[in-house]
Amino acid sequence: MEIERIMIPSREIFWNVPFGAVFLYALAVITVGIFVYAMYRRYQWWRLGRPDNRFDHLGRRVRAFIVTGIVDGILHRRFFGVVAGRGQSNRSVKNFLPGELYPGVAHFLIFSGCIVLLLGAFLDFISHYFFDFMHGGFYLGYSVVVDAFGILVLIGVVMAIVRRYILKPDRLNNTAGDLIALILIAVVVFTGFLVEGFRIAATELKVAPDWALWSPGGLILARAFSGMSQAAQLTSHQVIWWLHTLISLGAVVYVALYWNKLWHILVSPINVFFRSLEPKGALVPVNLEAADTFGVSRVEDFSWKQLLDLDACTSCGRCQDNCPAYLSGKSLNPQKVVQDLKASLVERAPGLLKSKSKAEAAGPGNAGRALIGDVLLEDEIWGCTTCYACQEACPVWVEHIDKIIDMRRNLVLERASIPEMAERALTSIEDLGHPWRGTALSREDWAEGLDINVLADENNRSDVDILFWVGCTEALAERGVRVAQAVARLLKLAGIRFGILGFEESCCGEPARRLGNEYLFQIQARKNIELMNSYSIKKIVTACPHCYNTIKNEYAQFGGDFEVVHHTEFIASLLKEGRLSITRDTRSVVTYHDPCYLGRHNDIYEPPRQILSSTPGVTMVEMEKNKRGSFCCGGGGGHMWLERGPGQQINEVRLEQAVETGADIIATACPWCIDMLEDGIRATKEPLSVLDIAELVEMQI
Amino acid sequence: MNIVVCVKWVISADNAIKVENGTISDRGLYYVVNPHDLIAVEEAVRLNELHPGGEVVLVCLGPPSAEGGLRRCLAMGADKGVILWDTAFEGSDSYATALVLAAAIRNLSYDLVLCGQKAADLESGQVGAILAELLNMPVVSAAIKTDITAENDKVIVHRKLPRGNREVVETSLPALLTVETGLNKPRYPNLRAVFAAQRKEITEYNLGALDLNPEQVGTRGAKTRIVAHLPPRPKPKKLFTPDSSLSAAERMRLVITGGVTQKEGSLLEGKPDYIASNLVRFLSEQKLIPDK
Repeated sequence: MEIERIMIPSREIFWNVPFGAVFLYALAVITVGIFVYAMYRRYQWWRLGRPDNRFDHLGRRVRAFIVTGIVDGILHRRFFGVVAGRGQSNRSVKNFLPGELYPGVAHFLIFSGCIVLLLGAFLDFISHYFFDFMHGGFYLGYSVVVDAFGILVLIGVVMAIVRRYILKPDRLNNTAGDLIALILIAVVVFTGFLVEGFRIAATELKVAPDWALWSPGGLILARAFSGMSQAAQLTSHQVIWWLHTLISLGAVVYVALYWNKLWHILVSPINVFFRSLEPKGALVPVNLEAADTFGVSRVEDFSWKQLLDLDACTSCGRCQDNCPAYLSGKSLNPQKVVQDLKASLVERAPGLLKSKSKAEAAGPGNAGRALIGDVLLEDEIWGCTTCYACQEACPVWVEHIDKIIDMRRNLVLERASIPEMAERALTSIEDLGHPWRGTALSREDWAEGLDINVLADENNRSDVDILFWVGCTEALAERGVRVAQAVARLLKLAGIRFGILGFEESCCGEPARRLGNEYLFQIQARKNIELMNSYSIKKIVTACPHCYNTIKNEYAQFGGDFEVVHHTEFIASLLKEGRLSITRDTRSVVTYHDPCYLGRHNDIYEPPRQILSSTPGVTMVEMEKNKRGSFCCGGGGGHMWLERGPGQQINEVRLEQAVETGADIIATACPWCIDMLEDGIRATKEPLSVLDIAELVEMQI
Repeated sequence: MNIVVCVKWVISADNAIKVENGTISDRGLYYVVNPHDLIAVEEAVRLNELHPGGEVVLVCLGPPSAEGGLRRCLAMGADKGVILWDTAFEGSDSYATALVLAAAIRNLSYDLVLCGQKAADLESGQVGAILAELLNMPVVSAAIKTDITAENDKVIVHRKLPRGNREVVETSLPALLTVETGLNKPRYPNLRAVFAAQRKEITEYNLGALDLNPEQVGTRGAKTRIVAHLPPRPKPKKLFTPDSSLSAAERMRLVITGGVTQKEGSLLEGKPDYIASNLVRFLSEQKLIPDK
């Protein structure tokens, strides 16, 4: 009787490496110890920041984290350039950015490959020490998957190196750490293949060559080594195994000690977990009476979460690629802002940790570079239009805007240092209740002859279901007034029982808050909330996205609780309900410019488009940068009152994009966008006109 | 140095002011500290910083609602505020106002009194000079630069005269100066100063506290009376673009006047006698010469 020996495919752990297990585990413990210590040190740096409760709504945070982990982590949706989110009535809104495909694929290959390789080693560990499943068909299947992903990692690294050092996109600033990170990954994976190659050459290739086919990467190398003697193969295998082990553990130690950007593997997910759950458009309030300093003048004045942001940033540069200030030649660069703030933290943290208290650290001995002035120029701080493009583009939810606003608060509230025109806008709000000092109009002039209920008159109040909040620009600026009138006429036509505050209306305070004068903003907010509550106002419609955003998302911080609707949402629903009908058929080619505070800040993209598409004569063309990728007009963040900077003006850049579509009319839904775009048209003499959605609709009725 | 600054709470000239039935319609009007007075406060604070050891005291004849304005001035660096209010003060003209201010200021110690050259509402420009007279002090008006001498006993003032001329005047202290635009730019206070200002002292005095009689103040004590308010001519309108077929001079005239106001009447041409008699007829019709 012959006994057939059946060989079952498997692999012996620590084969050919005497004392391998002992040394590996010992070194691993040391490595993990160093890693944990480095993490703890960094955590202490974050703790230098001010308190911030990000442990609220834990259930929501965990759910959001899991969803993001699956959608962006596993599926890499945003990395592949599919920018999506929730739009009107929770419908999904998507843009695809083909330019993001290359880096997205490179990252996906490295990311998924490394996960599979680590998972493979982990499965090996479980199989060896707990219950043995790593044999037979399973083992072969496992081999081919792990090998394939190992090759994908190497392809990904090559793609990344090509991108950084040959294609050299603008948004990447290559540092030594970037190259080291890529090389480390490549070397670790490649030495792993070498180990496999020597093992296969010394075993499978001779005894069971069919199995070797299931390890394609190792097989290629094994064939190259097949000419060596068995002894040489075994020795080489041992040596390379130690090399692979030491380099792998060494890489972890290097990353830990030098805070290489590979830390993002841990820190970025943590940052995602602690991201802000507040509405996008709401800035963080400050209790000014209790504050010991106003705003941020040193990096340690930021909150711990803001400091965590600085470490979560991997310098991918997507924010820079989307910033209208940067793209039009200004000194502001969001990627540079975050990295510069991080550099300031790196400079100051060791000294701060050593000193007993922050007060001691703030003394002259620990001066270093001033945050505002040395690390960042005032020009950069004032250069931001708060358009949110940076935050929308950031894959790890770094929050750029709140840091800039915090520094503006320090400039204005602590130092009273503010560009002149902006200062005039602020004193105008203080003196006159609106930022448009010099206007010849009063708040009720636009409504003359339109027979509109003003709430100050008691007899009117019972006739009012909804408040039309006009806003300063549409009440007092000559161009804006035409929008208010169009909206009012449409509301009357639809039989809506609305009223206005008239003379009692006062600036919503948004420009004050964006310019850094949080105090003035809070005065305005409280005043308006008290007034509207005294009239028991619950529903508000407004035609200014800035007022919309502030009343809807920020007034809640001071006890305001109103149901706010933007006029495009309102008109869209009036058209749908048939309370307004389009009867005319004026032919025109229209492109729609998404206002930042309606679009990115509040995710309202569809209603204006629904309105335009329900107008028969209108042919709608989209600009390349639209919806979530829309390009700012340059008016937000207080920029209506800030001096023009160097380079091309942001509004003219946007105008060029509109001209490219071949449209006759730019439709938009924000009075500042209208002003900025018309300014651009006056400067460049392009034959386009700018109309608010309400004006367009009125023309078609 | 101890400096007193007179501050007025006025209807901001940046309001869109409408005149209805001979009076100013007060719907939706915002009040501010008179811009010239802000300049005076800034100068007082600046001088006090250069010559420390005294106080800047604000004196305001106005209703209690003027407190907001005084807080703004206190935030700029003034030390104390005084509000003078009584219903008897209503209708005060420049003279009566100066009388009330003098009554309050007399009780303060001061090296210098600063006033705005004029107020944004009535623009009479007299209160400063009358006040100086009542306090028996020299007055130098239209100051656009001030320097206190080293011995702290004199002030050298540069005055703004028409057509860009300047005059340099030296006077001994105490003195009263009225300040013109161009002297300085009032500082924008930081929030710390605003909070500190909320804790500074503002005292209110009425008629009795100032030891005045009702006949001395208000409409009874005024030496002038406002008869009517008329809308400015031409009516405030937005700028229009004049017909490009007109000559440049004509277009400029239209832009400057804000519109065409056709004068009535015709151009007289002909013999001198004919022109002369029609001219006399026209002048007497317009009541510019007595009837013959």
